[in-house]
Amino acid sequence: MSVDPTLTLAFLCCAVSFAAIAGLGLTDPKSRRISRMLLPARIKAARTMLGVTAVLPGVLLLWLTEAVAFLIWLGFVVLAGWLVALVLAAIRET
Amino acid sequence: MFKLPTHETKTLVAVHGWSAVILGFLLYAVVLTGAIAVFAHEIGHWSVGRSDANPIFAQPLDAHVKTTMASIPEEYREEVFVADSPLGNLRVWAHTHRKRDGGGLQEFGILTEIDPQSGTVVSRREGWRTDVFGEEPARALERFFVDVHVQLHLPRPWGLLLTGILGLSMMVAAISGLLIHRHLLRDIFTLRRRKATLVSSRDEHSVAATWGLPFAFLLAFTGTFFSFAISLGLPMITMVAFGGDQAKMLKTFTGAPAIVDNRPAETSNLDAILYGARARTGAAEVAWLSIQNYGRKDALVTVRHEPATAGLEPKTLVFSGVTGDFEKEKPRIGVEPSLGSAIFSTMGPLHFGNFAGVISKSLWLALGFSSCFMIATGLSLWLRRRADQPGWRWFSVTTAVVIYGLPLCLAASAYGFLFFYPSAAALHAPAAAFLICAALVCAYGVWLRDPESIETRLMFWLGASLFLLPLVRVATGGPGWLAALDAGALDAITIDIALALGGLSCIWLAYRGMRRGGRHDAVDVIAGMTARPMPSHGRAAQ
Repeated sequence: MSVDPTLTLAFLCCAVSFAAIAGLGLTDPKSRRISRMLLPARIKAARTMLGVTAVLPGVLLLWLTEAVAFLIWLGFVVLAGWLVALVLAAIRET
Repeated sequence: MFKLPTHETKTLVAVHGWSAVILGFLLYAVVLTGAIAVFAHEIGHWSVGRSDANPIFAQPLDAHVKTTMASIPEEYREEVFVADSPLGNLRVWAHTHRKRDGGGLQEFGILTEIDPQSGTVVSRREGWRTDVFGEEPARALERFFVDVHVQLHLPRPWGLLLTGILGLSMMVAAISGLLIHRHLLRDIFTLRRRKATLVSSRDEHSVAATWGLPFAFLLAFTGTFFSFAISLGLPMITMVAFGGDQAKMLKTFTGAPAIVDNRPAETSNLDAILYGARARTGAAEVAWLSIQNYGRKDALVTVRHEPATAGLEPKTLVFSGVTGDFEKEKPRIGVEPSLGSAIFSTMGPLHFGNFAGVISKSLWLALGFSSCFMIATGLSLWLRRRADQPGWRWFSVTTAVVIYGLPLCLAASAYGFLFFYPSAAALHAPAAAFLICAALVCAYGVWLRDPESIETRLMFWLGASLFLLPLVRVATGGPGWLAALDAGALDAITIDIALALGGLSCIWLAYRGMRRGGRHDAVDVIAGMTARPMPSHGRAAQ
């Protein structure tokens, strides 16, 4: 069974962005403040790194002119971000 | 993110809210059916139990096409369109172009459907394209979903104009929403749902809308383009640039043959041409094949491919109809590659999400549902802000009926189709079943009067109807799972599983809503089962 390079690249980028988005959600200052959770030290620099990591795969795909992989990545990021927000809110409430 | 003066923010909030209140229900209908229409072909295959194990263009078809064309009158050899039929047969549409009374040019010819295995003619009809192709019960359900999405089942051009306006309103909502949200990035993960308050409603809408913003804009833009291009753009271009001459416009857009040579000549082997076309496109799936000037020296064979996995644009290759030699790759518009043609040809894949097979389609389906959620939570927020105003009570009942009743009516249209297929009545059965269900849902809403009860109960009925659809499909003559596996009808099995799981999820969500006393907004139930008491005055609350 052959592995499609475009789809493989898209999946890798989705995985990297998903990890970064989950990190951003877990360290979101406003959500943590609302849930009365402590904010780790040096959170701002870490969040900046996570933000860059979340967006970087998309920039990379655009630079490589991988339009199909970019659209898959963008669609995935949109859904992943929303679902991360929903799941984290549900976890914090329980 | 943007800091506008208070007065301008208030104006934008009013534009954002009132545009949603006025057009929100129709927009919801277009977006929901659009999400479903992403899988329209697969739904069509599911509804008739079609197998995709042997696609038409993967089988030899040259002999079948040539045998069919031998009995076709000369006048219909101007263009021959070869594609698959809804039941997986080979379809040959040999036609000419004629002016129809009260309208423009339309295709007129003979449609022949052939069994690709045996080569026997299954059916043969002569007439106008819209009449001949419109009389296909096998495609009725698929067409109904697409038609509601494209033109809300209204006559042309009014339906297209309306959906174009709805697309514009969605873009207005996206831009105004972006401008009025001051802390777009800061609030991107903020969901306060512990208490049922206005803040929790606002959070749900803003989080869903913030994440969904790029796609809401993309889908609205491409959708508006298609609606207005067909209803306004093309007629205007024909009038302004071609003095109303539709034939001239078509020739310019599609490219007329370079040299006219009407001497008779044998058409080249189509199977060899298809083999060559696949080799040039990286084995991209063939969508259709067409032959211009069949049986003449100047014949041209055009092969249209679906987008390959690594490409966004569908490719169209042109071959000589006599020698079978490759001539050129044809742009979608005009005869030479252009930026306009490249943009135009990417509009379709961007809107339909069909550029990377089932992966991109699944993403587009989920994005469509997330847009529905965005519209539903937006309307919910608007009503929560007016919860103490009795004048809005009936609007909240209507909102519950539309948001939860529409998917139920779409499920009913599938029941209507399954009960009447394969008879000719199946052509109108989906629309009739939809309207009957809509009337019943409206009456149910008026009887209950309590939005929360309407939501949870309609959710339950939706779940039950989705769960039972696969059983009804089999009971009404569709292939069972073993037979479907045997025949390679994987769409039927996949959609059955999706329907059963979707149905069970809806039943579970309705159960959660009902267990909490029927006092919840089911949009909340989907979002995370949070309490949101609303005033209950309806029959169900008594």
